[in-house]
Amino acid sequence: MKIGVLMTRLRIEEKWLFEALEKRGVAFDKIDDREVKFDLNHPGEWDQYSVVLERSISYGRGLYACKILNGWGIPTVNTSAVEDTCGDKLWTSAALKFAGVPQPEVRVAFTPASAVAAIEELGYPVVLKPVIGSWGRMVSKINDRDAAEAILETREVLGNYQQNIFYIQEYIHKPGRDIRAFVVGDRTIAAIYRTSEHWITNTARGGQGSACPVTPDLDKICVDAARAVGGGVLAVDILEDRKRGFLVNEVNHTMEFHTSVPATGIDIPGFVIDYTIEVGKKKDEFRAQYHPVPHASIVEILK
Amino acid sequence: MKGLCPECEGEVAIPEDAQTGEILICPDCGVELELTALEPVQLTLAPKEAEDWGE
Repeated sequence: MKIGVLMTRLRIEEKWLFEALEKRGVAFDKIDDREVKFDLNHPGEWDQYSVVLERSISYGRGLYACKILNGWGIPTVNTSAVEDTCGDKLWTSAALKFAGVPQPEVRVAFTPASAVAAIEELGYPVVLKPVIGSWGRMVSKINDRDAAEAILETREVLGNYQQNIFYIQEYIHKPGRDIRAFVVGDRTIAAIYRTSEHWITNTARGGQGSACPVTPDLDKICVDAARAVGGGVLAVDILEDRKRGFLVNEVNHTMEFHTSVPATGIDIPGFVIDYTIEVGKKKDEFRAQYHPVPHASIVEILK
Repeated sequence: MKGLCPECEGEVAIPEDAQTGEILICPDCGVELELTALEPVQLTLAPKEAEDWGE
């Protein structure tokens, strides 16, 4: 078995993953996503890998690489379908809704006027998020109509069409923290509280991590969320609502865990590598069964 | 091991266990540097954060 690790930067997470691979005696290559090129006709050297572990910081590079690899029948952690879903907050919400997993209320609109109407239907405050984005960038809490109009107008003139897909989420009055839980396969292996005085609790934005017990309820909603998006190695962000309990905020497909390993003492990179090895052992089955375009064909439905 | 910051020519200490691809901070000017080679040490300006970077 040989594993390819597709990456942009060598972060502490990648160092830990390489250590885990070395510890298990598994051959691997570090693949810099700035240097790769694909000929769609020929997998070439890519076919030497039993599985590719996707660790790109760039969502676009990781997603398209996995789409090509999966198309060739080379498994990836995670699959391109999972990355497609998790990389887009609207797709994630749709997948959670379809699976009946609790989440904050979401509204979607395509113009500033309809977005204001949707916001006022939910009631202030709300959270406006770009459908594709990470580390809390351009996430705005909107407290009143003046702020709504100002932010929506700014988004409209930014020029990127994605900024005009208005993803509006109910604001949850969380207790100064949220929960980041790590699901590998069918199990929540660890969780942390992310505490911050700011309403954005991402550790990339200064949130502090501390151990959070994985209760049966927390495990269930996290595993349900992971299954809803297709399963794999996933970080599930959970909000605690006073009345409704746990709600799934987001699901992340190339998780960072530099805060969580010291906070929990759990060998997260070891779990990730063990899972990746298991996927690599099933390359033949993956090639036979996985369809990169998983949706039923309308042509078949119409027959 | 030491390298030179391409931005300010300040001296940058390279940790013993450093690997290529690692990001280091120049102690003089604070710029992010990528360690692109070890023998000899080569430092380049690290790529700037892009819109689709994240987890």
